[in-house]
Amino acid sequence: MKKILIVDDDEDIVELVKNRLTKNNYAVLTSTEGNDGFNKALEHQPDLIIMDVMMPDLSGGEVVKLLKSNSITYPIPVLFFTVLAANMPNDAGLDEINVSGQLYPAITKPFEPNKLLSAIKFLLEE
Amino acid sequence: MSLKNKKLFSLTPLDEVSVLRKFAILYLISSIVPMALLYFVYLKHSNIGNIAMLLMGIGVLVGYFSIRSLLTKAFIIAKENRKALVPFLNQETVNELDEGQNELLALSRTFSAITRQFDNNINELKKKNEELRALDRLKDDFVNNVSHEFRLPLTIVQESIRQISEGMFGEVNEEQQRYFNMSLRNIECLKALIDNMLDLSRIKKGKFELVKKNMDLGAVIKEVAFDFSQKIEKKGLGIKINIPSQPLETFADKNKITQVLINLVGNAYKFTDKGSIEISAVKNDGIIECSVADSGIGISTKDQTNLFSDFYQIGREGHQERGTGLGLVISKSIIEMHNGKIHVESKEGAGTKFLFTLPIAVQEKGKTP
Repeated sequence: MKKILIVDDDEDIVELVKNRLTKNNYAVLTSTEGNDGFNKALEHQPDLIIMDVMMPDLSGGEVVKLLKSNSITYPIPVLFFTVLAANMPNDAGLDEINVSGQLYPAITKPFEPNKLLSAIKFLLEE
Repeated sequence: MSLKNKKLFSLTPLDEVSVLRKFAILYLISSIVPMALLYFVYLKHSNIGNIAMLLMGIGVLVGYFSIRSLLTKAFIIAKENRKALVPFLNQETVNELDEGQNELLALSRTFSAITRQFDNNINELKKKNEELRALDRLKDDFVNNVSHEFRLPLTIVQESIRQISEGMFGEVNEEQQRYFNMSLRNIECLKALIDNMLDLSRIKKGKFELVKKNMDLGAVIKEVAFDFSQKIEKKGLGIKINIPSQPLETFADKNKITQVLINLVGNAYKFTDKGSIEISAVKNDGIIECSVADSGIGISTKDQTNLFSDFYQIGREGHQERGTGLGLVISKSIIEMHNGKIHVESKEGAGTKFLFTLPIAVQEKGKTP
């Protein structure tokens, strides 16, 4: 079973996404803080991280910077989960967000469950 | 005479009668005296002298009356000038003028007063303009922030209801399902409104970005028609596509053009109760012309003029589908950002046709069209 880490400061969102992913046979870890999210990623090495952008302690962009500069967490794909993503699908039909000059796949809130699930499948190469 | 008391152009009220009397005496003396001298010294009792005397007398009279009428006109003009200038003068200056004193000084004061007033008006207008601009920026920022703040709670409400209605927490009966669907439908409306407000705020701030590529408009038309076909058929309407068999290559942002077509076909669907909707496109003289026509209720001339304004909605009664009043504003902006034009042709009760143009595709290097 693939492991997914959700990092979002909104507990309701975390609960709802966890619920949906669990029902779709994923093992779900959660965190509501950027720093804690990075530590959990380091400790559990999930297969995918779903990351909010605006969080009070560390922004999603800053957490990704930490993840990408660490050899253990470096290869883990990140799917941003945000209200901010521009509606510009890339060639794979995924929306993208520009985080410190780098484009990352993103799902825009409010989200379509099917879109979220197919993005996860695509990133996990399932 | 010193300049100080010279009447430049009668700001000071003139005593017309006395001026005319002075003029008459001076004129008559200055013309009759030399005439009399001429007669008595050189031409006395000769026939030529008598005739010359008569002609000169007539000349003097004609001269007198024409100069008098010119003077009278000048008085009228002077009065008008004074009337026009008096509002700009303070009482002190008016008094000074009435006393016939210091007209040059009064005039210069008058002009500075006028200039001051213009300056004040201009500064006031500048200030007002700046205030309005600040207010407009505030409104745009507000819309932008509020739209973002709306999205999170909306996500939570939508996903909670969706999960319950999907039966994740137990079976849902038919009536419950109907109410969940009602909620979800209205959440979609709210979402569309927020998306539109965000789009509009981006457009107004110049931050609405296009990703233009060569694309086939025909394919987009087919996709949109397909997405709507079920809904349209359910309402008992027909949908026709009228496009050439070869691709209609245009250089545009596919998502944004799709958004425009969804908006236009959505409107046609909303306002048509019987008949059909027809989407046409054709390449014509270096541009692509596209139209969405319906056989619906039509749009009155008055509504047509306001159609592309923010939050303008027409004919809500009897039509269940809710709009945001922003779709056409955004569509117009999108088309214009592609250097195209959009307009409407409609008659009340006789259907509506929206027409827009797009540029044809640019030729890529090393490729033949």
